[in-house]
Amino acid sequence: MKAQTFWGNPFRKKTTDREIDINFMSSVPLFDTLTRRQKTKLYSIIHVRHYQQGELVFRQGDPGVGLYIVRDGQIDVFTEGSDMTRNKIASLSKGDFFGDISLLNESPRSATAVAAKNSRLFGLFKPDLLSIMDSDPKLGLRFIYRIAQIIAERLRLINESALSDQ
Amino acid sequence: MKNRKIIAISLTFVFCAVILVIANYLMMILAPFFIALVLHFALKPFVNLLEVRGLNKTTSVTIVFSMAFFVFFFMLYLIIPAIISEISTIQDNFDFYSKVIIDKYNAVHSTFASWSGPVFNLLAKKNAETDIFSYFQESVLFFIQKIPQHIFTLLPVILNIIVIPFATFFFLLDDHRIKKTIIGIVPNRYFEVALIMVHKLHRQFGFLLMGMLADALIVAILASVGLWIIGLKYPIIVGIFAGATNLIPYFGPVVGTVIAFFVALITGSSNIMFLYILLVFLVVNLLENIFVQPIVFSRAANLHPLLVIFLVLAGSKIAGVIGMLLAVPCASLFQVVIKIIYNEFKRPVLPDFSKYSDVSN
Repeated sequence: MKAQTFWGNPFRKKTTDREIDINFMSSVPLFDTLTRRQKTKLYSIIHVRHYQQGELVFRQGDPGVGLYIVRDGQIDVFTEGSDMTRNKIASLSKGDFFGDISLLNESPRSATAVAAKNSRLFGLFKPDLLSIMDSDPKLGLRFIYRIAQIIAERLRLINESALSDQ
Repeated sequence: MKNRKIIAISLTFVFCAVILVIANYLMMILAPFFIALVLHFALKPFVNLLEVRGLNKTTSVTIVFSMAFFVFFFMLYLIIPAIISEISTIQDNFDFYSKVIIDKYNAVHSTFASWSGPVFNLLAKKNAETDIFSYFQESVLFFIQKIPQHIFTLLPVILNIIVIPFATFFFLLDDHRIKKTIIGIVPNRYFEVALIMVHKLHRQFGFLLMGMLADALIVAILASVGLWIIGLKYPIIVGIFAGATNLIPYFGPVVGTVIAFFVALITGSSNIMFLYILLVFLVVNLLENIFVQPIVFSRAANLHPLLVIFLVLAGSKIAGVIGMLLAVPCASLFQVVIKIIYNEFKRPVLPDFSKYSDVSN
């Protein structure tokens, strides 16, 4: 350890947690069209939340105003039946995101999300996004366009799946 | 379910009571931050405008802040000479005005002298001239004797005035970080509700404060111009008072009119002037109600007039004039909080998710 300290470059700029998080954003499809400056700006409105294993992120029917991105850990997504049954529909890991529809129309959550492991999530919410769009419409437009592309792609896949079932 | 509703209502009342008690005790400490918040709302659109042009936030905030300082001092440079000239005219004519007041007092005294009853006896009290002058003398002496004490009480006020620009600057620069820090302490379960609440409070507060500022400014300008046209003396001072008092719902316009009547009375204006003043304030209030209020308060609170009167009276009891001014904005914020908490508790209680049995397609 002492040798490392001695031979290490004391003038090298240390990478902060913030910079690591911004670098991570480049690996998320939601942000891959944004510039470094735009990602830094968007990071200023991202809420970093920690969840224990088994902790609920949100429940089906809860009012929702934003999306979550899995920074670390694992999130399981379930649909709930009225007869106290649950159906696991997805297991999301680092870089995946969920709840993007609520970011656009504040609709109630269509499924329940639970932390399958101790997890760290990034939360991006409509009120913050709207306020940043006032000061940087280019960023807002680029981000919303990317979400529209992702939702369109999902819609295409659902259509294909529905057609192949017929 | 019923218990949850009772808990929700009780929590809301406790929340409101705690906020009121804290606000009452910390009025002096909170005041500069409150003013800074108001200024932040007023300057934020300009910062956004520069950011849209591609400037970074720090540069935008610094430019807007410097411009605001410049405009503020320029306005003072423009308006202060006019106010000073009006004040010096009042000082020059002070003897005349006191004579007018005494003459009016004596006229009232002679009218009521023949009447009987405790109130009329009080009004008919003799030695009016001596009473008024001795009251003035005593007040001036009392003030001079208390000057050293006043200097010490003024120190916190000066400190507050210094705090306002600093707080405004940091509210503008770090608004997202401040909001994130506040929401960061909320547990995961209530995190999104807290986020919605903070956002709605921020928006409501912004609409209301900007609306109130715009309303006061427009009324002050309209009243000053109107009073200047009818030839009342000191139209700017009276107009500023009318604009400021207009912020108090229902009572404000009456106070503005009374101040103008008083000025007309002491300056020895003709009787027709009182009618003109009444007309000016009627027109100003009509214009304000038809054009200004629907625009500036369209997205603000919709409270029942009776509740507003009650709140203004309660505000005056708690914190005087400041309480009267803040009664309606505070009530509209509480309305937002109550609605969100009520909606949160209205939702059906779901069974424990961990007890659900797994099924697969």
